[in-house]
Amino acid sequence: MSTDAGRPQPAAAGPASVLAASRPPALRAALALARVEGVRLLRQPLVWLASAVILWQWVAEQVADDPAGRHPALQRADTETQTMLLLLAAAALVAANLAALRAHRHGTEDLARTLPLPQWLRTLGHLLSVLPVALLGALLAGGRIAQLATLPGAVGRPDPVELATGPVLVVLGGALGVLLARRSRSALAAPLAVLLLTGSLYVVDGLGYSGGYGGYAARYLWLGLHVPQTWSWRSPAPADLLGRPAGWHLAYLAGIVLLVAVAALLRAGGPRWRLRGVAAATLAATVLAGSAQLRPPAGLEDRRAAAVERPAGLQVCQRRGPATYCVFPEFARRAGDWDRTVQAILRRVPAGTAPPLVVRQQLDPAEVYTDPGLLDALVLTQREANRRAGTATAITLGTSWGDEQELTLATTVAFRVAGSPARKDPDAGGDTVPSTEPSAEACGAPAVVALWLAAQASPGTTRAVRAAVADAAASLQAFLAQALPGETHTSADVPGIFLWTGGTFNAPDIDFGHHEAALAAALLDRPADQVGQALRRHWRELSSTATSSTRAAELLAVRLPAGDPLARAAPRSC
Amino acid sequence: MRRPAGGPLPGHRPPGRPAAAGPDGGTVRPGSLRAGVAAALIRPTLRAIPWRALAAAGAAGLGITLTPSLVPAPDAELLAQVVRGAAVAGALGAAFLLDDPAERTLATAPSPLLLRRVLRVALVLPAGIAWWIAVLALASLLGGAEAGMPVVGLSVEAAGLSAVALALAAVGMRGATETTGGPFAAAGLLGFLAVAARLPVPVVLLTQPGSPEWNAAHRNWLALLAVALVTFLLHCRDPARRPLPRP
Repeated sequence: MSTDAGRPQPAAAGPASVLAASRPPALRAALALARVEGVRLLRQPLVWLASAVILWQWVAEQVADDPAGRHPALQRADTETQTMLLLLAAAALVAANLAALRAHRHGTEDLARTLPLPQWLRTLGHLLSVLPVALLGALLAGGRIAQLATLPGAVGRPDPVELATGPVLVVLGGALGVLLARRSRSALAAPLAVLLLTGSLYVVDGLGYSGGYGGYAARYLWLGLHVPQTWSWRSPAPADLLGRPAGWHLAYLAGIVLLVAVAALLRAGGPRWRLRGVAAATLAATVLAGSAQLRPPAGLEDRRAAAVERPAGLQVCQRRGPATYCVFPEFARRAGDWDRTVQAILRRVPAGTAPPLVVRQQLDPAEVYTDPGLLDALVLTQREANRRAGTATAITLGTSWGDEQELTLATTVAFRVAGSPARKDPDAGGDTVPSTEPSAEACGAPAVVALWLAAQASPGTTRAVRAAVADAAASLQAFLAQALPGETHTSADVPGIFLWTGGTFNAPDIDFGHHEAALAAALLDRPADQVGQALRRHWRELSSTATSSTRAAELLAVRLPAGDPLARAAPRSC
Repeated sequence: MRRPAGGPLPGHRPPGRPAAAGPDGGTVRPGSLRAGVAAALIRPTLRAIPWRALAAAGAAGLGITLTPSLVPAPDAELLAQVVRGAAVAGALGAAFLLDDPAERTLATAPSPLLLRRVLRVALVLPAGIAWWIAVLALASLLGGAEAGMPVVGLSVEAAGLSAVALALAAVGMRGATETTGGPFAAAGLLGFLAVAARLPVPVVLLTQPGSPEWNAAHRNWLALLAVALVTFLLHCRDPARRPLPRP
């Protein structure tokens, strides 16, 4: 650090620039300073670290087991690049602050005063030096979205304005760092500012998530700097329902950047009246942009209500075999993803035995979960809308596509294909999320078949079912171990294995009995083709609710290991 | 701190010589001399401590602790995050604790660097602990009785963060001719947090209360605390104690 003081300043190029202190050569010198400082900022370890952490997270998401990372919705991923670039903005804030305070730290301020460049032009140089870091941010965001767009599972289209917002946040961070350096000579100010800004983002995030179904409260979040998803934050929604005033917000942010920069220049002794004029004009423009973003787009609430309550009118349906997939037009590729899972189940059963299946995309704005009354009304409205669209028995699925949704789709489809083998009088309850649909208690041989069909559909569902069965075995063992001597407990006292798996709020839970789940898990250990052949051979008997799961074990030639605690559980007959 | 080209520093004591000589020419035990020096150092050290930076950091920490009052029903997770934010503010203050514009002048003083630094930390410690208790009390007051707060775990995290900040400050001061410890440590602490928040399970540091990894994370914090303290001590060895280069 101590060596910089001796380095020749680019501003002191020669006697000519000394003579023309405040004329264009001085501006050229400021630009030269900006170039040098910009390169130094890019070499700052904090900027490197922030970029490395961002890249690391992106790579980790791509190589994770969960397919959610490989099935992005680009109209949502563009906003998420802003969240990631906040880290770079924080690094720019601290790094620019350290750079602007370097002369003070090294005691060379008096020396700098003898140079032809006045302090305000040096401050201008520091402000401009943030631009290369913003360019780095733009490269990161652009690279990220380009990489996501090339994934075969990508849907939707990114908004360039949303992509540009992240780099502007980086510039804002750097400008704030320079302003802080001109307000306070303590290097503590910038890290504390980062901490406080992070804290305020955390609070704003919390407010955004509890923004209410109408999203009116969420409107005011736009006065903040970074605005997370304010509607349907659980899963992506079609772009025209997002209602994000991205353009106005970008203008608002740019105005704030200019105001911060002008404040720093004024503080550094820049030309007072000219800067004040710029500040007044910028302030007016910022207030205009800031208030324009608060006005909700016309008809947004009606469009949202229609999409949530009566999605059928907005969706396009594709028929593939016995299955029909209805999706919002932007999500057309999802039908292919769904079909892979559905076909993995249908190819195991005799042709023509599967009932007609309709899978429909369903928006689930999280806001509805905060009001059970609203949720119940919504479920009824949706059911009515589905009935009118001629798809009364549609399987509904959220707009994300990951492990959870895959398991939900596989379980529900397999349950239908196996003849919906539910007990007649299931107790309502056991739901973790409010739902007017009681959970279905799968029973008999078809329950074994359904769970095996769902589990073998993909590596992800195999993993999930194995994990659920292992968990159930462990908790059953713990439950039976608690029994007092002489007391007899049966497994009927313990709830079975729930495979409600985070679909949408109106998807019913399916509850598999312990014995049936253990048999299905044992079938997973055998080659799938072998089990599939036996299944096709005995399909009529195995898909009948009159057949018990013990009989299913005989037909499929599977036996539970003796030590398995689930083997002691009683079979559940229909 | 760079040593002059040749010859021992004023504080350097060639081996094999008596430890110290009293005013009357008699030998004084080194321990009592050290204690005397430490006692004499208390007042100047108290004056040299950057109290303003510490106060600003402490005030920011208390301000962060007040945020749960904005939320109708703060849960344990929010409280833990808020208390952690306050701990980071405190650690940012600690990052500047070693900064002293007179560092270069003092380098030649006979009192060892380790003694001066440890004394500095010891003098601030009571105020730091009192501030931390105030933060915890304020947070539990705002959180209400039902939102439990893992006080011990969060205190271990706060101690670990401050130790990391001090260790970074000591590292930043080494080899520098300016008071660059604070900026280096504060920036380093933020970088450390950016990584720490994303560490996966075996080396996990930041978890939510009630998470199954809570205990593992706090074992990691204790290990980090030990590593940071050792680093701090190692970087507080007086440069005058290093072996002289052979001519």
